[in-house]
Amino acid sequence: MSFDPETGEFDFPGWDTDQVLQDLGEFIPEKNILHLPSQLKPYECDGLTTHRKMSRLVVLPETIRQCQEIMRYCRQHEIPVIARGAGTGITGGVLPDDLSIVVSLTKFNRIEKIDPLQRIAVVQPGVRNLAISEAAKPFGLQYAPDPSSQIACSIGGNVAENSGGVHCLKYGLTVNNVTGIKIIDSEGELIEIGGGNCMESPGFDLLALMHGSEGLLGIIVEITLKLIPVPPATQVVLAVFHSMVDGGKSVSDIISSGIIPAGLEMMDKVTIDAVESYMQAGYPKADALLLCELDGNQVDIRLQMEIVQQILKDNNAFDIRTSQNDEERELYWTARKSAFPAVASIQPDFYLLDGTVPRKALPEVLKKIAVLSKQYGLQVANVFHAGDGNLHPIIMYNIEIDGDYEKAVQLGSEILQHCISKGGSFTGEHGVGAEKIDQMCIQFSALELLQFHRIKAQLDVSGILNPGKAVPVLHRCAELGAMHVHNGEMPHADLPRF
Amino acid sequence: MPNDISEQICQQVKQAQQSAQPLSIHGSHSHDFMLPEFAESQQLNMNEHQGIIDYQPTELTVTALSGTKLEEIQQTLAKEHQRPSTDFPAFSADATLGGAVSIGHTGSARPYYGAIRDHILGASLVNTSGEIMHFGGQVMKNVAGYDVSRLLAGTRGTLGPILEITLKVQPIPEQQSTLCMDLDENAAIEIMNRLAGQSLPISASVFFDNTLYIRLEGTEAGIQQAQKTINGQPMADGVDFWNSIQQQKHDFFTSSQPLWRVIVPATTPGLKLENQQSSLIDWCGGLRWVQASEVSTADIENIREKGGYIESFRGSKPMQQADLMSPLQKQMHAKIKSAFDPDQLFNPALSNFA
Repeated sequence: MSFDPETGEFDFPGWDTDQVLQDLGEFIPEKNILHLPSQLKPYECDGLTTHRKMSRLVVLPETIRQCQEIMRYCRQHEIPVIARGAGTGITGGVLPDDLSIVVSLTKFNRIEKIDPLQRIAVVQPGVRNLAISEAAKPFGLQYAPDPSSQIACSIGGNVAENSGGVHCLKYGLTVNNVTGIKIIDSEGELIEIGGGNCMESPGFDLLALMHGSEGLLGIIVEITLKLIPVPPATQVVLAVFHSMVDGGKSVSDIISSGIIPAGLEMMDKVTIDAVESYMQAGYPKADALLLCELDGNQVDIRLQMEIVQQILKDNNAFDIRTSQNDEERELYWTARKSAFPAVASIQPDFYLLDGTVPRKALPEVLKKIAVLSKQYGLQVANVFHAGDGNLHPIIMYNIEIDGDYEKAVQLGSEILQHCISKGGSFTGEHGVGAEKIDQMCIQFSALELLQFHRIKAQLDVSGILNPGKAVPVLHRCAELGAMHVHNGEMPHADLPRF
Repeated sequence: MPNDISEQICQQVKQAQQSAQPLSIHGSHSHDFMLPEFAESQQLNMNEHQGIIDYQPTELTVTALSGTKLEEIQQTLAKEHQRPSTDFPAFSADATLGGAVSIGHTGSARPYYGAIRDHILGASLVNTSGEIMHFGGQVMKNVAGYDVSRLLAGTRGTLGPILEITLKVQPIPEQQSTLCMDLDENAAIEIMNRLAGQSLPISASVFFDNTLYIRLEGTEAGIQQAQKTINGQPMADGVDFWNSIQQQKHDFFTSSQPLWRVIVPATTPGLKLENQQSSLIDWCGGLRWVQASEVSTADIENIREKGGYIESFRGSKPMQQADLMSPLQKQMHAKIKSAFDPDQLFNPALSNFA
């Protein structure tokens, strides 16, 4: 058997490039099949550029029927399939290998329908996240989830990863804003999942199961989204503190007061300084910076703003600024969204994490990160969705220094283990992919992983959908279990790092 | 004090597996009327397994054992000026959290605050070997592994006994107010959808007997502003009205006529089923409650063409969820069922997807 449903182990027979090229040519136009090294190069990685591998074939179907035919062909010949959106993911979720065919969905780029009265949009998976809100804007509507890559990331990828963004504290994740999808399963069948233009569908919540399944359970070919009214007014307050603890306390106090901000973001000193030297946003010198966005009607915002400002003062904020117009608000946010490139400008190599913890654990986890950072001798910048308890520590290292990358990965692993021990998760919105697969062994027991494998095995009998990603084989966890006992010394270095 | 009988439940599942005797998993029985009979040889009663085990007001989360009464959860949250993040229908004072999640039906706030499943952050489940599995957690964002905790919404106990559920909670709005407008059915459907497309603090809209009822929730100033925009008549006993809808104590629901639950696109014009006596529209048009002595094949087909479905709710022969699915959807459910319960141990009579 090429795929063991109980353990997730797989061993595919391999294929002959020329033969497959010829066979696919029967139902895919030649121009949509890429096989030359120069054509394949852009597909060797996603946003996680430290992990690169060349595939042998990339196919760009244009119709659902073509997708179905590809799946049927691959199922018949036991060829693994990696569905790819815009490639902006940062966990190597679409990292290819020479055994798989990459199915790029970028040609599925049409917004098929916007129904303003029913407040839904029907879109193809390759449509960019931001393009949906732009198309809905004339109707006074928007699509709420806004990952920081929204200008480029595709909505199909958002569903596959269950992406978040700065506004999910109030408006939810992708899973809360999608009402239905159409998928092609591993047998090439087209299945409708969820209510689509209805608010409910009978049976299990398969729509939730598909969200964040990282291409392991089916290929998404159509998505129905919920649109919400654009709030009539939005205002951001920026506050700075002499300590992260004061900033963190403000976050808890705002939530306790009964206000749910549209966004609640924090940055530490390293990030504030990096952002300031990168784009001169006018951020004050401080040890912690908090951005709190309120939206809704003018009257409510005014009242809530008074409460928030009082909380910030009570928590020793020494400079509080409120955006007076959209331009100023944009500037505050642009600076926040530039945190990653800003840090990259001081240190080009960094390793980005995505842990979540209960809000109350934030101060303690931040202290722990500071201790570990000193211990490893690597600087860590902290930017986070404080309202959600979603941390994005950025570990800076230098690839030119021997062993520095490995040190960064080890430090990251320790930070994420700490998040898990505090009742959190090692990934809040980026996903597992190829990169964080080892952490799955820490967060889940063998029993739970086995259950994941059983789900996969039922929906993908031959195991051809994105194998080796998101859910680790049990054997791998067993080996890693041994690793943790032996103080971080990695045994069995020959084990494939998917 | 919580009464955690997880061990006992696991033991019972183990014995059931060893003796190959399927289990009937029950909560408070408050939804039995809508379920096909499922009196298996052994009963697994989840009612005793009750109590709130963690409530963190500043985290906006509550974790409770599945047999915890919804009423207890509401009362506990209310002490901190919080409540569950959407409307949980409760047809009896004994209705449980596990039951509400297993049935998966959401009350009138559905279009505005989301479904019950939207607010599930984590759950634990017993497998067929009587072992406990944990999925999700207590944090707002968690994308590690498949989202099994939300998958459980609507499973009617067929994937296993749910032991514990973590829910997102929300602050209770400062004020609630209800506006009424006299309208015909199609005008009401259009107006509720138009209003939902504007930034207004609406949390429910129901149409019955030529009246559209709109529930507003928010700050005093926000509600005053919305009242001016909407221009309806304020209703004095709004709270009672909405309770009567959530608990189905409203006159419409207490009639002896068979009651049908129709899911359609929200903007679908008024339905006229062949034997329709009366109807009540909820969910901004997305849910139509219909009283009718029986439903014809033409009715079923007509609703299916609109993209929706109709299910018996009360007073007629209960339907299987599988009857409402396409062959491929049924097959997918059968596969998921096999992944969790290959031996057909958990409520097999409710999951005949094959």
